[in-house]
Amino acid sequence: MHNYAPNNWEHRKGVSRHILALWVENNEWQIKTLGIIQNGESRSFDQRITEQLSSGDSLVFLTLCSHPVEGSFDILPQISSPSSIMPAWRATLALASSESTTSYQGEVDPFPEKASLLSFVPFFQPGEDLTNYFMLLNMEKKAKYRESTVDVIDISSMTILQTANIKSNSLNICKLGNFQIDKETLLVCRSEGMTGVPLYFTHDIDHKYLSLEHTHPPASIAVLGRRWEIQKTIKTNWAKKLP
Amino acid sequence: MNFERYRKAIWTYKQPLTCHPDTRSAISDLFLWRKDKSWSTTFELMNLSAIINGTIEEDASVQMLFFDENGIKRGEETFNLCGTIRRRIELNQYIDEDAGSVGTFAVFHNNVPDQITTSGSYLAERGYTSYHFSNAPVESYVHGNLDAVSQGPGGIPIYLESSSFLPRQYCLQYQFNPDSRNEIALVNPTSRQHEITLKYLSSKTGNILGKSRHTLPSGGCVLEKINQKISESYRLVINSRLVMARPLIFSGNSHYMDVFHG
Repeated sequence: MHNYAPNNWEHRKGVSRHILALWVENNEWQIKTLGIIQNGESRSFDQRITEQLSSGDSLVFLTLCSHPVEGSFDILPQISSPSSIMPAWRATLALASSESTTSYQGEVDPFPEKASLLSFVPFFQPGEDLTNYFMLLNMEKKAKYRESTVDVIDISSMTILQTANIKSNSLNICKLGNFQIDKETLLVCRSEGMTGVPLYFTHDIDHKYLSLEHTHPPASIAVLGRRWEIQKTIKTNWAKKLP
Repeated sequence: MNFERYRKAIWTYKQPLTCHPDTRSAISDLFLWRKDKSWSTTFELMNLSAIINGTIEEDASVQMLFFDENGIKRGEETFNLCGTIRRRIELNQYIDEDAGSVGTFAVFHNNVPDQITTSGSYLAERGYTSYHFSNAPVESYVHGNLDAVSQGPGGIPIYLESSSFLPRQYCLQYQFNPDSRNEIALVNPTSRQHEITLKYLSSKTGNILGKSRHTLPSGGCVLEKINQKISESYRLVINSRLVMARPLIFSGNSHYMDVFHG
């Protein structure tokens, strides 16, 4: 996490902020202030924070805030986190093995409950010694866990290759099968009951080579104008087509 | 209008990240290609028209333009997506042997569905490029993130990002590990040449540990292999008059390089 603005104009001056940890426990958002991060400072956390705060049961989210927050909430309260547009205020997320690291600039804002996922996936890397994962990062305002399913579909044969259960306010990890598909086959991940950030992770048998990327919403293929209408069109058209 | 809005207006007035194109052509990011004995580049070409229309049988054609690091056009190819929704384009075979080891490319979809036009939008190719390093069995993917180029009459590229009136800093929110092999790439999606300065600052003290200057031609790119003698964790600040100088980061070791946007 980085407590310095990503440009020299959207924030007039740097300030120290509080690091908040958020996780779901007993159907409530638990929020704890971990400490202060000074202006210009960066701080790293690893998976041990999950073990320390939520006994490893829940995903822990971290954010910066102008003031400390402590308590339990059934709905996520408004948090005064720093933001910017050009570019957005980022955090770096990484998966690491003893040999390698793969990163992406990853943040998440709460998703609406009434939402669906349609992710066109060119990242499946077939190979005997490669393992592929689909991961869905979801966060919603309501703490209470919801469940849904996601299908992994080969759209050339319109076949559902795999179905997995997913849960809100979680990082859902789905190990993909060793699909015998052509390298140019396009897969689609589809959920009608939940959305999130769809992440795709590949590693070799020795965890020496790691690859991580996420897909963008369908609206990303349109720019300017009423691009969210395009997203609605894409989702509607594929809802009629997919099994 | 309060002071804060006035203050920010100096940075945003007539300086959009993406200008509206004059034509209805599709828009593309300005992607980076790498090609040498260690690197090859593949572009994931998807039939965007078919994706919008919800069909896999739709035919489409796509034009790719290749430029060298100076922004000079070095090749052009048209790809047909006949009854297919995805093709992997291995760029090495389409880029001139003497075009150098790094450059840029743009991808224009010729089939623009009516829905795009009636929504007042433009079809945008901001898809996925994969970089393959050495003998790694895994490719590293990165998505496009700029609406950088459109096509003018005769297929001439028109760069859509405006230039800033005032000097800007892009303060990369990422900590570099000095033990990793780190490289930074920047493209210039504006119609003007830009001078850029890369400053490496200590994560601990903020002191400048290293600095370099580059001239970034219109449509071109710069790739810096960070070989500054830096022995502590550091971050990067990019000074330029680009509205958003977002770099591509290559980070890894002798056998594998991860690629991601800063």
